[in-house]
Amino acid sequence: MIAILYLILACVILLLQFIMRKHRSVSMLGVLHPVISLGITVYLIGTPAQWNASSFFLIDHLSLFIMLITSIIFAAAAIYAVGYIDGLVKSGDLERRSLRIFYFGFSLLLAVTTMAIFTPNIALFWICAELTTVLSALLIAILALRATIDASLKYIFICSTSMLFSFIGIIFLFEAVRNKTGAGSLEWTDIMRQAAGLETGMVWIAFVFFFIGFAAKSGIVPFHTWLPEAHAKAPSAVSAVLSGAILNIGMYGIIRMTGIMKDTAVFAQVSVLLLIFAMITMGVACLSMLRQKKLKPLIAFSSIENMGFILLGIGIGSPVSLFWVLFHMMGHSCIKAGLFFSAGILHRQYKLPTRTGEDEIGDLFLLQPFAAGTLMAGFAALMGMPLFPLFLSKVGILLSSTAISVWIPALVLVLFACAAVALIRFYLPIMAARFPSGEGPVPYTAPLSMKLPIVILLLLSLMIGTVMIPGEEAFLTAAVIDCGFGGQI
Amino acid sequence: MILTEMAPAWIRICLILTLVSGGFLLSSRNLRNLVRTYQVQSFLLVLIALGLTALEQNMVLLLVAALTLISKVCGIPYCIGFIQKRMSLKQDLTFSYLRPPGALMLSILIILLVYICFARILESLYEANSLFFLGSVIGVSLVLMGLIAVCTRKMAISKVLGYLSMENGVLAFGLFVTELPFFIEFVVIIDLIILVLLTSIMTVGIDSSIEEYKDRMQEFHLWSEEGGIS
Repeated sequence: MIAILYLILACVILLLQFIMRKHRSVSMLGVLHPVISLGITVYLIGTPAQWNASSFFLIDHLSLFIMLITSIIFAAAAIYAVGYIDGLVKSGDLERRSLRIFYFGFSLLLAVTTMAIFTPNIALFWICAELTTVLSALLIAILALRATIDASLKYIFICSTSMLFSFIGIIFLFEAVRNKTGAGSLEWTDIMRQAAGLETGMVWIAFVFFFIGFAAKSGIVPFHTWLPEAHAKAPSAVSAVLSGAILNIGMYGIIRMTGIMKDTAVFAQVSVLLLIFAMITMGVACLSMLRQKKLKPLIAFSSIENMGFILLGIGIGSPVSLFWVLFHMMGHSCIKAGLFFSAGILHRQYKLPTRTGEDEIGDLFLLQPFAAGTLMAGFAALMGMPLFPLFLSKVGILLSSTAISVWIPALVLVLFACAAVALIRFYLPIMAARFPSGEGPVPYTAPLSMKLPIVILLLLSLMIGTVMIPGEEAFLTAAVIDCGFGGQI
Repeated sequence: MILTEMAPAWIRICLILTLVSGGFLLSSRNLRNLVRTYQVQSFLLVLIALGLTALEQNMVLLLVAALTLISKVCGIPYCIGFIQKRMSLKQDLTFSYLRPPGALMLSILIILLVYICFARILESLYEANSLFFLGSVIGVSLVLMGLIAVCTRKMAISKVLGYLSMENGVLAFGLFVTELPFFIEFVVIIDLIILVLLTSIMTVGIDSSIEEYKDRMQEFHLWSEEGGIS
């Protein structure tokens, strides 16, 4: 029954945020919520005896792993928001009267994301995932500029319309189970138990429809068009949460659904479908990265690339590839959130986007040595440099893909090279750019609360990339088995 | 007894009319007509739910009919109509990608395609439960027609109506799975209401000039000077 604490905590925090009127108190509550959620998650990971105590929550290795990533990213973003949002208010970019909406929306988003991860019911999962879209859209539009409202509406329309297809998929799945057993079910575990022998046609349609919605949620091409705009236009604390936590919700749904398909007769078709979408997504994202001249859209396209790579691992469908998929999700979330935080500091420094609409960055190491350094480290991590976790997961998934065709790793390596060129091509000129003497902006002093989460996430990703934490391998292996991809790793 | 015998024909007629209303949503340029068409489409769903209640003797469907009547026939159209009235928007004359004749032709093609695909993939279902099969074909077709409306309409408020039509397609299909828990239907409608409210609020900003946006927000009491925190 420990899991019920997530709900109680969310209710208490939301109530207090509603009552309290001081900015400092409301923002501190915003930090407390994810930090305590992280504590509960760590406690649950350490006490497996507690997992089966409730029928209202699906607590297994997979859900706890995703929740662990989510609470880390939310906690980091909440700490970052303390200084960042304060700065936005002081500079007049964010209206003081919007603060309550921001913090309330932020806490509600964490509560709904938690529900999505732990709900045992697939339809409730759909509803919670849909609510994450609504709340994220609210946070994207918080600056109340035409550009942010436009990005927010685009996000809602694309994701919500696609998610309706997912609900059709869920209805088909329910009907398929009903045809087999006489009573339909919407429970993840029940459906997984009944997967073998489900009617082929119905289950195939169910997967295709389900995939459309959750592919849009995770920014898979061709449903990705909302992502670069939404991630780029949102305040950096929100961009980090969107990229590091909310995209994972879409992938979580796809992993669970693919796990159900594993035991059906259509798994080969499902695998081909996922591989095709993964390759297209990576291709489009990596080539688009080459054209980017602004920092946040570049990072956003990199998120699309990584979602494509995760989808590739799921499509391969072996226990080893799934192991590395989960590892990649963890690494990517930490690095990407850190990068958006660094981008936030640069945005405050250079008042991006400038009047010309371009990122006019100069005297980078002189004005913002910390952000410049962390940006460089983040880019290196994204490229898959050794010591960072993406190096291991990229090698792991690429090696697994050779079992299907050697052309897959060959093509993916070329695309990775394109992405690396795009990152270097962006970084080198801004590193070298100089403002004429006396024309540069006044140095912006980022508060400690904005720097601390970047350092924590960077150290965390270095730790994940270099040290196998005791029990980590066993936990991830068990999570792979929970997904339905059981077997020896 | 008579009701039970008449119900399948009743449901089929309503399903076809639902598709026709989807066509109107694609072609109408008058915003008030668009809202009325959505209202009629939702009412047709209420009639389908009542027909299914007579056929299946399942009281859950009666609850779904009542909920649809309250939320989709009365509540949501009133809310959208109110916003349209206050924004003084009457016509949506601009389209992107496809104009109404093209959109209608594409819809007919989509309906045929969905029918052929489903007839092949769900062959056994077609023979076992033809009403469910028809519901699935029309439901999915309506969703795709709504999607065309979302893509081809330029004004955000018309896009919202396209989305609502898509949701009606899902509901039309969902009605035929009578075992689907009522709670799920209920929460889906709540989700829909939140979504419509949020998009309508933002639509106020996009479909009017940005200078008027904050004034309008205050006018609708969605944004007050007093509500801030210190």
